[in-house]
Amino acid sequence: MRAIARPRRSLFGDEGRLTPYLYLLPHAILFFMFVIYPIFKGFWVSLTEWNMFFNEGTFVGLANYARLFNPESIQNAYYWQALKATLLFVVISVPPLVLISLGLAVLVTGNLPWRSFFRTIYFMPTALTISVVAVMWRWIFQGDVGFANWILRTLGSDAIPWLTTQPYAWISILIATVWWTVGWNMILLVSGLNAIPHEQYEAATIDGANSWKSFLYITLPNLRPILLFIVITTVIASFNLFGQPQLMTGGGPSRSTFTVMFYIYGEAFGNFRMGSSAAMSYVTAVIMLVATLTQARLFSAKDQDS
Amino acid sequence: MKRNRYLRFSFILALLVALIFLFPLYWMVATSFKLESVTTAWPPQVFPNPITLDNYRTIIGNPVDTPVFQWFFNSALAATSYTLGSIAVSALAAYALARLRFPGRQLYFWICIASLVVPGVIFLIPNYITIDTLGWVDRYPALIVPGMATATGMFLLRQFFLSIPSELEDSARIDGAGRFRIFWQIVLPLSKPVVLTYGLMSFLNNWNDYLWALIVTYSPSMRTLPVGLMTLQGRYIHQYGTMMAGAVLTALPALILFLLVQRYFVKGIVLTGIKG
Repeated sequence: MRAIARPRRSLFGDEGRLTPYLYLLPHAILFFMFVIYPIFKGFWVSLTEWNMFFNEGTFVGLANYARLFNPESIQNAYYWQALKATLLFVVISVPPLVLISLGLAVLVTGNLPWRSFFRTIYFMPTALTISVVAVMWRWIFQGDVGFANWILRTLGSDAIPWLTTQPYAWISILIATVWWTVGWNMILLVSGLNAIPHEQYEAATIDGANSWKSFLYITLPNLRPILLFIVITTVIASFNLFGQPQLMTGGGPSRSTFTVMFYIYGEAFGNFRMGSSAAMSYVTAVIMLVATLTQARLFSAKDQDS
Repeated sequence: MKRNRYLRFSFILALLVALIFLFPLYWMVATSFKLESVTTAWPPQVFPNPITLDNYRTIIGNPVDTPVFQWFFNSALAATSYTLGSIAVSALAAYALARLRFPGRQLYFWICIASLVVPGVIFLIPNYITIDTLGWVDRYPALIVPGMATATGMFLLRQFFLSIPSELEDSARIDGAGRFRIFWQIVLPLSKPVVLTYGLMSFLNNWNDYLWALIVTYSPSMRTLPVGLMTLQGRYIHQYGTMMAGAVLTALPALILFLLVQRYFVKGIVLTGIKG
């Protein structure tokens, strides 16, 4: 922006023409190697029969994709089953993950005593790694002597084989996931709630609105951008479900909690079929992208209505 | 009057939820201090009696198959190097994009932003192949280098740098400071809140990473804590006390760090308005 004429810049040095690129270079090299290049490399791998031992592939065209759509193949059966399981989890997990975090956020804003203490408690599980979360909940839901069944028996009902029968396997995974991740969304919503100008509530009270009406007509519309962000990131996170089934249920009972990420991982690093696995990740990526863009569009369409 | 009753109700509700949130952690810790013969007692012991360190001894006392301290060292080394590297790389790029004028500046910025819509699932296999080609499988760089240059870090820092008044830098230039010195001694210190927030996010992401670390390491001595805990599960599947001792050892460093910095962390998230 400075309008000082600079006669002839050298290449390096403080005002050198190449100097800005030196600042950019470390980021650019790594970003290219591990973010840009793999987008294309992965697609290439999906067109090959990849040999992990020699680390090279034989071009097979669209065969890996064709197998996904060929009802005779095992990949076809397992992939779509996994996709259905994943979508089921998205459907059952996103509403509680969003609504509970909204409830908690409302609970810990305002004048509540000890509110930062409560925030810390609810937010704390997000600092844990998935294997700790899974080991912990697996023990609580353990079939014979787990704590959950102790409560049930104390209340006089029968024990439930939580991790080995449906729908309880999903319920166990859902409870562990809510406990683990709900704090993130809560913190974001707390910052959204604190940003709403107080005058809006005062004006509503003068107009005779009760607290439910203020929530509906002031809180929610103000939170819309942050809610959009939360819904989209929560859908993506639920779509990526991997550690909970791998460590809690092993994908069972009878593959019912075997998710897409779990299958993609298993196909590549259990069955050593990188090409097939890469093809699945591309199909999955397209589905996720379409889902994300649809949600963004739905939200903005609602914007135009109101 | 009504307001008071509402507050009291909220407080009791918040307290109940807090107890529910804390219970799994308590149960993990309590189990880890029980004798293995009592962990499966019926009805369960709510308080461990007697309190024992046996489970911790079992875990720590097997440095060949379950080298817990080595895992801790691996996790700490990887997370620390990753965090420092990621901050350095992102901050340098962000400074160039925010303050320097050069052809391709806008293009690079938008390529980074556009990459954010690409679902993470597709990076797993090609990046593994890259690591394999570089000969990094089962070695530290595989845990440190791949995720270092992020679009998020670059974006966060760039936005913050743009908000710093450029008069500060101009006066430093008049005093004869060079570009890098301005970056290092003026811009970075002024950006402390964002740098720390991004640093903490990076640290926890790397420390808690499971899938990638699972794929790129295989020897017991190269595992990180989250993956090591999984190998414990394979070994001590029915020894709940030992498993919980392993879980406690894995969880403790992250929880301590979290509690030390969480106030700052929360402020930073509010400030930057983003998520991992």
